[in-house]
Amino acid sequence: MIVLKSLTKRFGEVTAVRDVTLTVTPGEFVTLLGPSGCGKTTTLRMIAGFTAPTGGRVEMAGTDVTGRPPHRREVGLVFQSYALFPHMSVQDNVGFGLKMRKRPAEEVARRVDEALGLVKLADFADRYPSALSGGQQQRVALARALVIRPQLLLLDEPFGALDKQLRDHMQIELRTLQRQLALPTIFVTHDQGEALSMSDRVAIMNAGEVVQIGTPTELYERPRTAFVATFLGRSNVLELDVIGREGPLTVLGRAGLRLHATLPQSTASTRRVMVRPERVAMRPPDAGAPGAMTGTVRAANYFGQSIDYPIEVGAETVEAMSVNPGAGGFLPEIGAEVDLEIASDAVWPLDD
Amino acid sequence: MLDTPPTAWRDMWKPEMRGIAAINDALADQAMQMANLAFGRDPTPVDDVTFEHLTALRPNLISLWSTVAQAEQLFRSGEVGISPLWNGRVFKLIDRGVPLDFVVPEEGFFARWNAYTVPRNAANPDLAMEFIDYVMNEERQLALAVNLSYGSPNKNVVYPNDDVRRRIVVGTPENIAKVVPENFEEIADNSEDWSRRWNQWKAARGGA
Amino acid sequence: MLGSEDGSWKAWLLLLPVAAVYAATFVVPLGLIFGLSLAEFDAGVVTPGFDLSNYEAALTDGLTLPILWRTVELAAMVTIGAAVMGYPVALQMRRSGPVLRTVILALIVAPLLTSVIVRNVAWLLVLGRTGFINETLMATGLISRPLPLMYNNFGVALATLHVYLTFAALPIYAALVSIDRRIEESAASLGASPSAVFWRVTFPLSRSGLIAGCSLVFILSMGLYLTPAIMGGSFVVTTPMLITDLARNQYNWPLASAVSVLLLLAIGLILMATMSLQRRRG
Repeated sequence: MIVLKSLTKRFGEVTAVRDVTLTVTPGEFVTLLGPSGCGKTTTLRMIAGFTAPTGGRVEMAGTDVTGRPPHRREVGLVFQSYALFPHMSVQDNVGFGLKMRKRPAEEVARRVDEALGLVKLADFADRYPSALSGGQQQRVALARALVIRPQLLLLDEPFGALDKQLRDHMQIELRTLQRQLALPTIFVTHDQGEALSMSDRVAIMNAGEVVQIGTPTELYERPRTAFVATFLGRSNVLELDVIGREGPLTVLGRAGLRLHATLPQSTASTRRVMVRPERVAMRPPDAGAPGAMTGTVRAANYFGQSIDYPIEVGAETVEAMSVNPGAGGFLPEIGAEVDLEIASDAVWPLDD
Repeated sequence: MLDTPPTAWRDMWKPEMRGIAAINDALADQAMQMANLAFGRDPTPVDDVTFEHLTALRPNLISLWSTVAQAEQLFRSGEVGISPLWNGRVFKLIDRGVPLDFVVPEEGFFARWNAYTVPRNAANPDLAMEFIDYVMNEERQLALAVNLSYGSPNKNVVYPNDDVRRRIVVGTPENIAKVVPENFEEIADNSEDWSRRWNQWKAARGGA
Repeated sequence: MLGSEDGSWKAWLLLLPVAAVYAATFVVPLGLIFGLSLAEFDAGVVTPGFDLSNYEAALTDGLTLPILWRTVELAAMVTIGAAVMGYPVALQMRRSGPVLRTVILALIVAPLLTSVIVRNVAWLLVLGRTGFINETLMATGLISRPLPLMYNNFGVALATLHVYLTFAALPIYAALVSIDRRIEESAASLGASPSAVFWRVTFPLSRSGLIAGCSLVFILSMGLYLTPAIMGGSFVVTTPMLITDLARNQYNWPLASAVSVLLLLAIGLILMATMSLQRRRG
């Protein structure tokens, strides 16, 4: 188990990382997600031992390793740039960690073979990194990190340099391998899609702090702040007036926009809520469904599998997303009037 | 630097000169002939005996200088206490306050001169002759003697006092008697061999 | 790009000025020297020809080869010194912030901006008989007579190293800064101690810079003339000094040319040997 306790790093007056507390359970895949400069890389460097924290602790398997130099932490590290040793063959790259641990030559050879087999590069042992493709280099870097059987795998944007198809492929492969080895992993990325699809849990960082930790579902469905709501997926963040109550539901609205939501009791006169675009349903205007609002289609952005519609309702613009319904489905024209329907469980209150 | 002023070339070989003597590398032929004079030989031939003497001098030598500026620098910085150097330069240094004296060695010395030459196919031989007449007349030769301490071949030049005569060295009969004639034909004919020996001697290991 | 097929000749055209300068200042004189080295020399008269007597003379006179060997020794001494002292300087430059880096750079480049004469006079003040070091040691009673710090190989090598250090340090620095730090960090995370990171990763990856720097210093040191003349008190005779003596004092240009060609050959052979050794190891 890996535990970060109140990890803090200040560079002069600037606090790069503030009070990061995080636990990675055995076999868990945790992602640090955030925009560039949010402190995720500094956090990773403190875990690996390259940067000394100003405050807080790093614990691995119950031991405080905060003061340990990098070479005495059992951490497998994979960088975006792969950082292979260019003057060593693939097998020497992979065997490096074992040689540093002074394992017998026979054991080194056997474990290097195993690791290369694991990443499907058994035939490339004698090649030099410069003779490998980006994806192959990535696998060598992974094999090199795995072969030492680390207590923790640290991945620093490892897919950033790969093209889309290869990236998707490598993500699946890495995740399968990580599950198979039950290796606790901390993954640093700024790519929300990657974070959602791969992680057991995601810690979202902003301005040096972890703003929310949770499973991908929790974060997507129940973001605490507007930052999380907009950083993870797309969302309509609406500032609305509290108009009244209908049974258990609170009625919110502003200039033609009417929403029903389940909200905790509050005396506030305005509330900030989030609605995901795919939860905004559009119907032809004459459908006359109860609770419907009417808006005007301002644009239609076609993405193939889905179409985005910014829709003007009074003074607000609400993003709606339709899964492509195919020929015969409802596809409003630009400028057309539509009825919008937003179910009360699609409206999620935000803290700030 | 020296307790007793030297009087002869041979004094350069004295143990107390260890590490403070220098000789001229640019006019090495004179240095070789000097080594012969110091041991009572004729200036030539330059042979193995000459180099035995030079090798014996080696521990005393701290430097071989190749430009006058370098020699002056060595004297001024106190690196060198004894070295052959042209009189004109020495008296300039003395005038500037460098604690130095010029000694005419007992064994005699070589007197060399500068010569004006008009090449056979010169474009303006008459103009050249006129120039030589100009620079060789009494007035300018006297200025040369007084200011730079170099003697003149113009017999009409009358040196104004004993100090000037002393400074130009070849201004007194007793000094002129010490001039050792050089056999330039022999020097020229053997220059290649001497040069090679000299370089070999210089490059030999275990010197100063 | 100018490299397109029909435009490629235009790219070559751009190289014309530099090619002309090189031809005029390097290729042509080198050809002349080579031609002259095959000429005949007798009693001051040069007769163009094609014979190897000058080379024969140079190789058998018992002077040229020992001096060439001493020149190689001196150059090797300077090169090793420059590598050993330049590498830590380059490492420190890489580790330092921009301010300290600029200061170090200024310090190692400064000797280049000073004239050789001034520099050597300055050394006199430090290493001379009455220089700073000897005066201090004498005053403290550690020595009773001045140490011979100048006018020998030591003085020449030190004064040369002073200037050429930067030619070793800068290529090493260039090689070091081009190493991705994450490669070293990967090694550390794999269990390599700081010294193992240096010897197994940093040093091998900077070897190209080290070799470039050493080659540069070696070539420059093989051409030493003024520094040994002043700092060596002429007792340190290098091949360039011998060539100068042959050409200037003995007017034997053919022999001087032959020795020059031999010097060039020696430099070429030593560099080639070093490179092939390197290639076999890397």
